[in-house]
Amino acid sequence: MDPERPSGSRSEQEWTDGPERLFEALGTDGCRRTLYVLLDRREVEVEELADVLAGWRVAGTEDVVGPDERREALLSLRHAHLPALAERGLLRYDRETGTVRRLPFADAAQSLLRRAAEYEAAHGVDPAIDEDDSRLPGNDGR
Amino acid sequence: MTDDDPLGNLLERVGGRHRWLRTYADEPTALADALAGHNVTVEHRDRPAGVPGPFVVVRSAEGFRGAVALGSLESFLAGPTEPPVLGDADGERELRELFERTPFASLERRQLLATSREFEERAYRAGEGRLHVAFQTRAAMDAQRTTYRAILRETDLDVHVYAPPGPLGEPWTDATVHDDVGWAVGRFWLVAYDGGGDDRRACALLAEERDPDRYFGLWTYDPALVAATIATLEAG
Repeated sequence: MDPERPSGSRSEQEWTDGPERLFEALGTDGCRRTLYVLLDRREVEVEELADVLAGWRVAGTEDVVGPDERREALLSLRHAHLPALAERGLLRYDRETGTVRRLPFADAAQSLLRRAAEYEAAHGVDPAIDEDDSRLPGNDGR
Repeated sequence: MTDDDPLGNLLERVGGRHRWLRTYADEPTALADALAGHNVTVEHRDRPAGVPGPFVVVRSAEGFRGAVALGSLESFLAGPTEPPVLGDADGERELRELFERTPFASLERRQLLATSREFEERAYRAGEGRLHVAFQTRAAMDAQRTTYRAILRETDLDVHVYAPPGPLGEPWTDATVHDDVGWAVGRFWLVAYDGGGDDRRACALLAEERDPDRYFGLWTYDPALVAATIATLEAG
């Protein structure tokens, strides 16, 4: 890796300093949701994390999420989200065992994460399904 | 096992697909009770912060099968209040596939009706092949007459009906009716479609009423198992 540009256009120092590393992480669904899971559990296996991210997509909907989407979630976790969160000092990811463990920085950010999670839970379900039904005159349901 | 109960033996023999369910909810659910029996294990986890609703992860020995909102799974297992009508009955295929070949100790009649209708719909849409259906009573046969009249009128399906002997509201001259089979026809609820030459369309529902209104049974999309079910039926 080019030492001048360790990740994107920022320097290593910027990534590991200050609240920016947390706010950056909050901008990505997979990173943010991983941090939410770690709010109530210090440790979780990456396989279960993939289950949870897959289930997250269908919570509050009538859809079923299958193995393909879950595999995508697992790959994203392993190759993108977990390395990014580890790099920002928010968690430790052991590739050998698949164990994900929360780090003290995330502890310090708990109340912020908790608020963000509440906000997301309240706004997380796509209301488009109900709207679709109401737009169809004469739809008498099934 | 005895030879005079071929369907019961088949049901016991094929029902080995265990499912592991993990519910992510605010409190333990009644799902474990609903899925009573030794083929489903239900484990509870607290719902993670931020998830907009409780959900369930379904795993088999092969790994992750699917995930679904808890409410969707509960209403699926209970079955719809009105059985779906022919022409619009494949809405829950994905959910049904999650539990393919998983024996349930306590299936609801509503769920059996919905599953039957989905399988009849598959046959109806294909329009060819052989559809086998066993009714527990002649009254149940009468109740499905309208649906089967449409199936028989609008397709080239070869329909074989198994039912205990007795009077009918009207004759089923357009189907082949078997009322002389050796197995205990009144105990079983069964729909089996051979796929009409396309294995991907094959499906079967096999359920036994072990207590009044309580059914032990399973459904499958495995062509070999569907063929075995049909062979058992045809052997009488």
